[in-house]
Formats: sequence, structure tokens, C-alpha cells
Amino acid sequence: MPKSSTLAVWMLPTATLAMVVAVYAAFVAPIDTGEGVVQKILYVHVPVIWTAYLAFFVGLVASIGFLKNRKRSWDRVAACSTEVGVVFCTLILVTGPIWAKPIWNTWWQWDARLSATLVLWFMYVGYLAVRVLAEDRAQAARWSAVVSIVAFLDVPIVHKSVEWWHTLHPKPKALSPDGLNSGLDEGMGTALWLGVLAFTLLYLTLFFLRLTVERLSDERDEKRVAA
Amino acid sequence: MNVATPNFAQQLSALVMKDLRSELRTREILTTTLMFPLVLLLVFRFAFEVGDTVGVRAAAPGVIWASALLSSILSLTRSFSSEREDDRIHGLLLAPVDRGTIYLAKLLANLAFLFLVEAVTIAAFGVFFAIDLGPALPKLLPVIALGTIGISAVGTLFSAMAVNTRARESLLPLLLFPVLTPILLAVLEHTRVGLAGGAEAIEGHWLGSLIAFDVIFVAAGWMLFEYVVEE
Repeated sequence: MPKSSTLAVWMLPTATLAMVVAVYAAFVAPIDTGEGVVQKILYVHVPVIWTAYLAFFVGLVASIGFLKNRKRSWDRVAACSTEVGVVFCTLILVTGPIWAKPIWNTWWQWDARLSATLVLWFMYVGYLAVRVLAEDRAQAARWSAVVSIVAFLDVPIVHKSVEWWHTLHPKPKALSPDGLNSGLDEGMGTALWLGVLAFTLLYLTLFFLRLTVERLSDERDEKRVAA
Repeated sequence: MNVATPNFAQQLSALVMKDLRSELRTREILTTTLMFPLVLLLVFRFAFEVGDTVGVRAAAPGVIWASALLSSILSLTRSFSSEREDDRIHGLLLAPVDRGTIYLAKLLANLAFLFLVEAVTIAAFGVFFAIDLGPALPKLLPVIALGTIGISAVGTLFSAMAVNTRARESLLPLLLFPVLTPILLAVLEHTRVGLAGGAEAIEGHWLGSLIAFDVIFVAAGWMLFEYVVEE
């Protein structure tokens, strides 16, 4: 397994290139007849939510792995991935309202998906709080793993219950039950999938960078103890 | 000498009785936690001074459950902060009992205290807001019971963490309230329909979500608790 720093060095130019291509594709994609140019935020919004889910899922798997094998490296993966996930989850809550203001004429609606995403964000902010507030590193690792599992178990129930509460958010356009890309024009689908690729690479870049920092700080602590 | 090992039910009841007995002797939860919903309702009564009964009725489910949830933080915190004093938690963990059993016992003791808090909240609400909850109560009881099991299941797990941090009481609501969203929505919806008292029937899926929540989180807490209290 190559070091996280090596992976980060390779991932950074790759992600940059993919991002340039994705931004170009978003520019040349046809302008939506109904929503106009505002619709283009979709090419950021959807990739960002996918990336946040991916990051939290990696965090969950690493958390379960840590509780089983108790290796600090697993805890590092869990903590770093979840942290990057919170950044992306924050971006969803920022890009959504930017779109909603011109289209819905309001920044925020207590719609099912919006409420569920906000609840999700709070749960993982709680995760970060537990890591900071725990008395030592072993405690932080065990407790945050438990929070990660509880949050993940809760997501489907939260989603269902807020759906019964209210729903207004546009239906999925790319991964729709009517078939792949059924809700999108040609060119829009391409731009969206390129966006997903670019943001996934961006996630990997940030994740490996964060992992490198965490590993280096562990090594420094070990040297300090040894000295 | 042959000493029989107590079975699961005996262990559980001994642990629950320990918490109830210690509460009866110190009366710490009774004095602080039961006063809290009363002062909250006093604040809400002034805050929601809307004049007409229609407005008060519309705010009622929110007032009841906001008071009950905020008060639950106090009694859930107490559950493990009392074990923190003099390192009592170590005595508990050294007992030849499964960690999952300790969790279930704490859950049951918390359940008893939470029911008490809710009973006080609902009774005081009726007095402060002059709304008779009596007719709606029989229908609400199963929902309240299921909701409270869920609050206690997640609350017991998180309380064991929160009281051992520097933040104490402020961390518990941050962790607990977002997770309890499905429970809050279900009890609010039931209370609203119950208070309306009309022909409106409550959708069955709300009860289903409460049951699913309880089953998942009692099982999760039972399995995860040992990682929380591990030394």
C-alpha cells in the first residue's frame, strides 16, 4: 500500500485536470429552458452530495473496522474521511439555497431532502465534537466510531419521516427510475457525470492530504514520547 | 459453598433497582428534573401568549414535546454523572455482568424517570394552557411509550459518552436531538391529530417508524455500549 502522501501527490493534478474538464462541460452544456442558467449549479450540487455520502460511507466502514481490529490507521481513515464529508455536506447546504432563491423564491424550505440533509450535517458535526471533546485519543476513536454507526443507522429513518412531513425538492434526474439520465438533455448528462468524477477525485485528494497530516502528527507525537 | 450465578432477569432487576433506590434516597432527579419542565412551561406560556385558544392549540404539541425533550437531557445526564462521582462506574463495570445488561438496566431506569418527566409535563401543560388532554390521552399513550423507549435507547448510549467529556450537558443535546428527529416528528404528528379530536385518522406509518427506530436503536445500543464504557 503506497503512503497517503504519495497518493495525494498523484491525486492533486488528476483532480485539477478533471475539474477543468468538468467546468468546461458545465459551461458548454445546453441552457435549461425552464430554469435558465441557474440550473447549472446542478453540476456542482449533485456531485457534492454524492461525494459527501461516499465520504461518510468510507468513514462508517473504517469505524466498524476500527472497533473490530483496533488499529489506529483505521481510526485515522474514519476521522479524515468523515471530516472531509462534513466539508462537502456543508457545501450542499450552501449550493442548494443559491439555487433555491431564484427558483423557489426562498433560501430554505423545510422540505424532506433539505431537512434530512440538515439533520445529517448536525449528526456529523456531533461526530467532530465528540472527537475534540473526548479525554484521550483511544476514547475519541471508540466514541466517534459509535456515533458514526448510530448516524448511519438513523439516516434512512430520518429520510422516511421527513418525507412524510413535506416534500418539494426536484426528483432525481440522472439516477431516475425512468432510466439513466432520463430527466436531462444530452450534454447535461455528460456534464453531470464529469462533475461526479471530478468531485470524487477532489474528495480523494483532500482525504489523502488530511490523512498525511494526521499520520505525520502521530509520528511527531511518537518521537516526542520517545525523546 | 455453591453460589448460583444470578440469571439475566435477576441481574437486570438488581441493576435497575440500584438506580431507582439511589434516586429515592438522594431525590436528585426528582428535585431538579421535575422542576425544569415546569419552569419551561412557564416560559412558553408567556412566550406564546396569543390570546385565542386556536393559536394555543396549534402550538400545543410543540410546547409539550420541546419541554419534554429539553427536560430529558437533565435526567439522562444524571444517569451517568452519578456513576462518575467517586468512580462508581468502575464498581459497576467490575461486576460480573455483561456490558449489554448494564446498558439495558440503565435504559429501563432512564425510561422510568423519563415517563415521570413526561407525566409532569403533560399534567402541567393542561393546567398552564387550560387545554384538557384527557380525551386524547388513551390514543397517545402507546405513541408516548414507544417514543420514550427510543429517547432512552439513544440517550443512554450517548449520555455515557457525554458526561465523561469536558462539555458534559452541552454535548448530549448536540448528539441526541438530530438522531431523535424521527421520534420527534412522529409524536408531534400524533399529538396534533389527538388534540384536534376530529375524524382525522393518523397514518399508520408513523407508528411503524417508531417501532423500527426502537428495535434498531435498542439493539445497536446493547451491542455498542461496551465500546463506550471500555477502559
